[in-house]
Amino acid sequence: MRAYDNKIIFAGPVGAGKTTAIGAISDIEPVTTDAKASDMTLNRKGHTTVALDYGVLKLDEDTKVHLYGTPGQERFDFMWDILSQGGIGLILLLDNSRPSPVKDLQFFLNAFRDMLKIAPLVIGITKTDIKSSPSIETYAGLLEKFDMRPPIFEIDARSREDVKELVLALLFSIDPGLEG
Amino acid sequence: MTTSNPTPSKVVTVMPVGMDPRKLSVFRMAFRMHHSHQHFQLMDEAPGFAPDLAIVDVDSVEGWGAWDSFRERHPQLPALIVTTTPPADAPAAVIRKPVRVETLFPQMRQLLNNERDVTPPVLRPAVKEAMQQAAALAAASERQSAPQPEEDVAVLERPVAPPPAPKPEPVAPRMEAQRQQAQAPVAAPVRVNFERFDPQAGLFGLLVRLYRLRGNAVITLNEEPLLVIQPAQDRALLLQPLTSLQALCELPSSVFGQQPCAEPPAVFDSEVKLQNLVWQIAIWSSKGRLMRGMSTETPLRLRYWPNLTRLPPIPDAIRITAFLTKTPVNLKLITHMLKVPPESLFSFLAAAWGVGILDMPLRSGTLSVISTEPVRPGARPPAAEALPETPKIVAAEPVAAPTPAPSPIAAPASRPQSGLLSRLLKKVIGL
Ligand SMILES: Nc1nc2c(ncn2[C@@H]2O[C@H](COP(=O)(O)OP(=O)(O)OP(=O)(O)O)[C@@H](O)[C@H]2O)c(=O)[nH]1
Ligand SMILES: [Mg+2]
Repeated sequence: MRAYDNKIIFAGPVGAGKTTAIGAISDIEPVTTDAKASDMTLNRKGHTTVALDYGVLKLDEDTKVHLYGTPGQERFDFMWDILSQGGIGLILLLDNSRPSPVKDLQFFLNAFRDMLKIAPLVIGITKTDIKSSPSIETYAGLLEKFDMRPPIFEIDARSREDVKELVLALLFSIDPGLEG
Repeated sequence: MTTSNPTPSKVVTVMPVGMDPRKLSVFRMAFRMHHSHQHFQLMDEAPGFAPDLAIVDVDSVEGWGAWDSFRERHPQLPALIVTTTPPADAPAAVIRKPVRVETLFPQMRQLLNNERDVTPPVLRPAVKEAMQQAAALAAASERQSAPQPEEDVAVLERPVAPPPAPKPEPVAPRMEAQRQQAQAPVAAPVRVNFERFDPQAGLFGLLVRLYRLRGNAVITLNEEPLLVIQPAQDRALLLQPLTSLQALCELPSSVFGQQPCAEPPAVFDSEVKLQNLVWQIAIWSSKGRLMRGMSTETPLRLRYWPNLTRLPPIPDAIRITAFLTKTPVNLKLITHMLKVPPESLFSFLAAAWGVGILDMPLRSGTLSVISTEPVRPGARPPAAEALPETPKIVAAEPVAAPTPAPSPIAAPASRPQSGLLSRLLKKVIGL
């Protein structure tokens, strides 16, 4: 049985909603290291996370589950390995309004492949209100070809209900019989 | 719209109009904090639900244009107007800003009550007649309550329900579903016979057949157009309120027909996602009954996860999906391992079959196979079969599928960390 480091990793490209999603469920005001986006993000958005995001789900006085958001920019990808060791699972957020979200999916599955050998994956597709395709069926159909059937939902990272659903799917993926 | 959820009373879905994200978030907060015997939900948090009323803010940049375009699209929908400057001749009831929660909800309730008294829903005669027919059918079947024919029952275990909990606060449907997930039954299972329904019959049967054919079509009721489906756009145009379809799920196949769809209708009641409609009609048609043709020994497997955040809720859907995507299992095993109410499971199976993600082998021609893809547990395609548009980085190192996660169900005690996970589950459900 694998020992969990009490943490859940949120990953995904720049602007996918990692910081927002952590903020939606964290018990503490999320600690972020956002800075004004500069040239490297081509000003797609005003703020970007330069180191990592941090949030907490407090289970009791002594037990916390840490929520880490990895920086979206690839030049920080050295942090991804460090962060992903021993996590409960990976929540991958993909921004449907980016030019090629299917490539983003492949990129992140590859980047986190070591973690995914032992930990479950859940995928949240954000900004479907801005761009509705590719559809969930398209992503799921592609993953199915690789015999991967991770939970994959449309979400709005600003909605706590949606983010909750991702975490629940992560937990039931580990054990559908889990009882709270 | 009702779903398979036992919500304490009808959920009222409210459509916000003319609101920017900031205003919307204020309303969202108000709705979340509001508790009463009647549950209100904002439509953007309840995708797939048809609106029961609208709140129209006329102070946005659009001004009264927001009202006009709303009325054009929804000529019948009851509405409240919110504004800082109520005009004398407002076309609907007005709430002056700042909107107070104490007045907002009573006003909405009053609006709905008035609406019910004055204007019964405008249903065309064919639909009205059909709904009466449905009511008569339901009454007749209640009177009959004849024993089920042998092939119509499945003997399965039913988890014994825990003693009735204190009446819960009304909560949002999805939260309600999650709450039920948290309250797993405790006592030993008993064997019960379960009723079946025919998934090939009636509105559901026709809708599923047309959905599979992928072409545009009109579904008619007593020769009159009822709804238009456009599978390529995942869209359905309803010519009658969504809620009126629930009663129609009781009617026999003979009253429904289909026509090719030349022109989409210019006027319609509402537009919904086709997949959401199929899912909802499955819930209403199954009513917690098992699909005829599905044996308790049939191995079942989901091809992939349904988009549960956007589909009408079914209690325990996440748990059931997690189980059914792992490995093929039959009904006996599922009901034995997953202590979920069989009604939820059966509704879920009907819905998953409806939208085409349930793999199961053919049995005596009663149910057709859904997917042409055989179930291949653990099988992986060769690395060359990479996803389309594969970027170089992936082509060099093919996507690694995670090793199958631990066996679907392990006894909680045997997992050193399951204490943490179940506490986390409880925490997240309570968020
Ligand atoms: N319209 C829309 N906006 C969204 C959605 N989800 C998140 N956002 C917004 O997207 C913006 C970017 O979100 P962030 O949380 O900063 O994204 P991030 O993944 O942390 O980005 P980096 O830190 O740059 O990697 C925010 O303004 C969010 O409010 C969605 O589903 N729809
Ligand atoms: Mg960020």
